[in-house]
Amino acid sequence: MKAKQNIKQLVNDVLAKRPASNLKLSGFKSKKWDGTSNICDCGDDGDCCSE
Amino acid sequence: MICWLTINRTCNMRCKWCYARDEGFKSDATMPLTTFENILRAIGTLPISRFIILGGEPTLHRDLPAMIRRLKPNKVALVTNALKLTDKGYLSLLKDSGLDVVTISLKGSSEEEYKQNTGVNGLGKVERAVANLNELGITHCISVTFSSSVVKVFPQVLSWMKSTNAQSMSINYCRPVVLDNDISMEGVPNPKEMARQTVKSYEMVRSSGAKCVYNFMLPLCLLPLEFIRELVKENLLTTVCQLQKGNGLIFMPDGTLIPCNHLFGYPLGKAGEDFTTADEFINFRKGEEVKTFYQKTGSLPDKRCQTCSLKAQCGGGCFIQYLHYKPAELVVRPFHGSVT
Repeated sequence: MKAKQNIKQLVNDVLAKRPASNLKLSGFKSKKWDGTSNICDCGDDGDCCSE
Repeated sequence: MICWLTINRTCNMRCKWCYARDEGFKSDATMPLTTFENILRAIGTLPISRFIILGGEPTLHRDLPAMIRRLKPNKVALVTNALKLTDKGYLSLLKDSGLDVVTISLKGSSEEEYKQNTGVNGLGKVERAVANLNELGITHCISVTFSSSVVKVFPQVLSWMKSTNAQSMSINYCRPVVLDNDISMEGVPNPKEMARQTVKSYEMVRSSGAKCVYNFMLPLCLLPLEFIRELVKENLLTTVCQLQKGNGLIFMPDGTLIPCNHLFGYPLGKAGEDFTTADEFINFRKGEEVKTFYQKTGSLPDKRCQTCSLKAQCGGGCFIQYLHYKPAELVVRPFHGSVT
């Protein structure tokens, strides 16, 4: 485990190291199982739930 | 946009890997209807494609049916451990209130495993809940969090799926959690190992005939390109999360807006304080700090990703893993081929 730290600071530090980009992320999306949209799990797996 | 409403932190299970265990399963962390209304006032006119209600364990919230009714005509999904869905009367009430979809988090493939993982004998109850969902015609999905231990019992999980007639299964990936103001890797398998096990699991899925989707939130380059082609061809692959796309809204029980359920220590703002109306919320989202934050979470983790042919479909995977791993530890190589 790393030493204790402020999570917000850690997140900002990691984000700051990312190269700049204007990329629009699309992802793959499966729509197979209920015909309209797939079903998401725990709330942060995002777009599998969207239309 | 998609909106997640964490309506409580109380739970009737104690899962070893729960991302919310740092919150202490507090019974007082329950969303009051006034907070619920504050949130809706701020976002109610936005194009929300789906509301997803979760917890804690949301079925322990006494106002759940009223909340579902209030969210209609939007689509409403519920993420639950399903213990309370053994009560068919209660499930009927949720359906009549307008519930569209139920996702059940499966915590084990035997009663012994359930007890060990959650402190509760839950498998038989989940089976009864699935039977009720089928009987009432409610769309549902079994969610499995992928780990080395799950892979060991994966054939049992698949045969359980078949025996219960559960509609479909989604495979999700264990990620680091914030614990005691630190990043905990306890119980989180190495991403490269999870990728290996993903490939290994596929043959089992295929031969079982189970309806199964991989919500792959690791860098795609951990998988062989041929395997990605196969999953895409079979329509079994979902990638890129809301944090990367910036199209999600996640509210905590007190109305705090957070960027991701793994980042409840990173509040962005609060309904009723930082924004009370839709106009205020739109201005808040367009503010420099929030805008820059999402630009960064939606960017690539490593320079090498910029030349990858699948960069838009991958984005390096879930941002949370980079709180522990350096990009060079996860990003193996850029792809140069197409998947179609």
